[in-house]
Amino acid sequence: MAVPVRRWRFRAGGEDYTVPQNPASMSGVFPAKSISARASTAGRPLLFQGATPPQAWSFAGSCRSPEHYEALRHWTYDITGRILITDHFGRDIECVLTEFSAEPKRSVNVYWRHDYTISGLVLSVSVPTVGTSP
Amino acid sequence: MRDVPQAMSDTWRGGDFTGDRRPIARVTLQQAKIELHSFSRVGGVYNTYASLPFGPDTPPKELPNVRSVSWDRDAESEIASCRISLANTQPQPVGTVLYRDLDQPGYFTFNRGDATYSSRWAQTPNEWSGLLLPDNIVRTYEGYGFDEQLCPEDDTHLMLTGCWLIDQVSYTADGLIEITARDFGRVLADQIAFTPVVPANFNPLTFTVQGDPPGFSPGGESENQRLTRIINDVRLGQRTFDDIRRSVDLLAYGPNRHYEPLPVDPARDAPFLTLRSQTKKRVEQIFTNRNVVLPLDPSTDGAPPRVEAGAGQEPGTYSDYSDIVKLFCAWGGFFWPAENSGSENAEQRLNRIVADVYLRRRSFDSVRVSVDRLAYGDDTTHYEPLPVPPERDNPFRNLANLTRQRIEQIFSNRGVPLSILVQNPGATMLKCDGSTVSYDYGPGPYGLPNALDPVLGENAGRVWGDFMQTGTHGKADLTAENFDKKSLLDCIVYIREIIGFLFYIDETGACVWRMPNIFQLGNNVATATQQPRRTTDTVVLDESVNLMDLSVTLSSRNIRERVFIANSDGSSAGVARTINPNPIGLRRVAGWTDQNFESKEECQLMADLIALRQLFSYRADRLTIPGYPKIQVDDQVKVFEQVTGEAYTHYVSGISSSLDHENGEYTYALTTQWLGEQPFSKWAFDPAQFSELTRSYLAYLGLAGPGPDPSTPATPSYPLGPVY
Repeated sequence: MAVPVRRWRFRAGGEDYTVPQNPASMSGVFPAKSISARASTAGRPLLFQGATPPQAWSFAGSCRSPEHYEALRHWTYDITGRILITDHFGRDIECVLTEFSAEPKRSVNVYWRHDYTISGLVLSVSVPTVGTSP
Repeated sequence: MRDVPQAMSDTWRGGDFTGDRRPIARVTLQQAKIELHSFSRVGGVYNTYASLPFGPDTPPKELPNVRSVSWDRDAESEIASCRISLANTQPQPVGTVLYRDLDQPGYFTFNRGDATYSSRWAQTPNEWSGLLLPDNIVRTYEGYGFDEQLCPEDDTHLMLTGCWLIDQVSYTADGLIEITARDFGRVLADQIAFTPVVPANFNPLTFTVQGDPPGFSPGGESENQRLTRIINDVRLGQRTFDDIRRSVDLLAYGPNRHYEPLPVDPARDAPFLTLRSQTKKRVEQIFTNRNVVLPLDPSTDGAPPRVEAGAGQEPGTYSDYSDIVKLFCAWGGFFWPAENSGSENAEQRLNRIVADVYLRRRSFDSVRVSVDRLAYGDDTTHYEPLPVPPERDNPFRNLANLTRQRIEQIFSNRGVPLSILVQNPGATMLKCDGSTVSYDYGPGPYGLPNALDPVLGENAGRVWGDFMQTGTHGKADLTAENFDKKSLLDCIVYIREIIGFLFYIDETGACVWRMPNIFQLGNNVATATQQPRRTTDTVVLDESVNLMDLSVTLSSRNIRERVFIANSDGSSAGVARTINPNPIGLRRVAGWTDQNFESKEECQLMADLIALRQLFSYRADRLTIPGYPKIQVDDQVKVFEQVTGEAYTHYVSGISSSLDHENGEYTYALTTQWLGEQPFSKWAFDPAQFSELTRSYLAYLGLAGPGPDPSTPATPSYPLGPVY
């Protein structure tokens, strides 16, 4: 029996969309600290931390219907501001989506089969709300 | 040096500027406004004090999106500069879009939403409209870490590092704002010594030696100097007089002393009573001394005063009063003979004119009595001017000008030694007869004790900053051509270069006017109290802690083996032998002449001080450390670095600060000059080589004297860190 998973949810203003199928993979959502190392003239390290840049993020999966395809396109290109994506761990990821790359795949009986990759910039990540099970 | 929180000092020494200790700059913006405060009207002189730091009546707003802050401050340069870069956009809440843009680009543009075409981009005015403009005030706060719940002024992680007036704001299409600003000294550079900045009563600016404190007998002062000093006191309103008398001895016309009064009436409601009464008395006396009978009786019936003039007859000398007394009236500086109304005789003319004056139908700046054909001499006409101040608000200017000019003219025409008699009501008579001088002050028309400076005044707050007494004054007048229509900063620099003081604007926007901090180990600690304190602590910049970079430059370019100083006529001069750490027999000589040097001792003092400053420029360092607002220009720091062999105390002459939020680096580049290793043992100069006057002068200023025990190394502010 398949373990139910929480579907990814996209929200922005009055719009709310839950994907029919979660992405199959995603990159890390946490940014790298901007730390530079200098040294004193005697060699003692001195560390300086700058502003943390937004983390480049991407997630990929497949879509099988034109509705799914169109929704992903809409959320990437029609909504230009910041959006919230709640992932399967319950984390609210504030981000800006920058690219929707979809590659059609040959599939019998699934005319709209595409493998997609969506890229964006993560601005903040909340704590997860899902524990060891959905 | 400033007091900083211990947490900041610990962070600075710790070397870890990450997490909640990362470098932070916060910037506030405030609509500038210069507030004018009028002096209390005393003596009829209005003066205005302009306040820029405390003038604004709206609170500052914090500017977000600051990308970087950098500034440069130099003790030798009067104005510091600052550059601030920030991003011109404002986040848009999730799910809301105003236009087709991500977030709100151009949010801080000064005219956002104000143009007729603003609706094209769905832009409306916001709280930043009209703020990011030239001439408004920005303040920078820098440090390590911050508390987002507190405003920058209250955030103890940060220190105020500058108050700036915006010179220029650049908005770019790619969303950046670049602000270029200078400190409040810019106001002094931009405005000139002319009205309305200089009140009309004091324009053009001139300065003469101030009066001496009560009981001080200058002695040896020439008569011209005494006259200059007294006139200056009158002009500055530091004295009131009911008359100024000239005591004339040994007139060519006779041996008797007599007085020509120049009445100055302090009572505003009766400017001419004194004139009238004095005129009668004095004129009678003048002519009595010359066996000329001239009774003058004022009216007693309550009508406008009538002055009667008569004349005695001196056989063979004159025959008619009208030939003897002619009244010349000056009105607004133009002179014309007394009016002759038909058959009006001289007496009637005199009555009429004096009545007009009494009834204020006329104003005069002088009334003269002309006496011809005195019994004792030839037909030379002379004039005894009786100045009448025409303006209530400026009672003494004409007096001062006329008195000096007329007195000089009168007596120079006769080859008579000048002698001035000045009487202050209720005070000791001042008599200057070339031999003794003694006097006493009364309160001046401003109501100020004479010891008080009319600028700083009796009320605190007319100027703001740290001011050190110079302990000296110039000999020569500082005349108008040195100041008139020049920038106020040029005027300050003119004085600064003579006496070798520092002038700059500190981080809080206050003036700093003091001797350079090079004569004694330690630092002046800038605090919010009225008396900044002095400490022997110095900040240690150690290679094993946080000295990031160091370069040492040795140069003899400014070294001169001999320095001479002289006054303009060469009557006083001094020569100092300078210190060249590598003497090879060169005889480079530098010299300076200035009218203000009065004695050989002063010239020697100046030569010694110049030689000292040249020595300090021989070895200059430029070093880089993490930013530390505790350090200010005019501070002393101790530097340790192995490769350059640096182990000396240095004088911080300049600081360049750079804080970049993107890469997180916050550094100070210090420009320093060496002072030596240990005061009075391995100091860069040996005070013993200076003249006794120089040593005394430094001791008088409290700047040099027995220092700490040379055998005990000076304890640095912070212990040295571990050596890696």
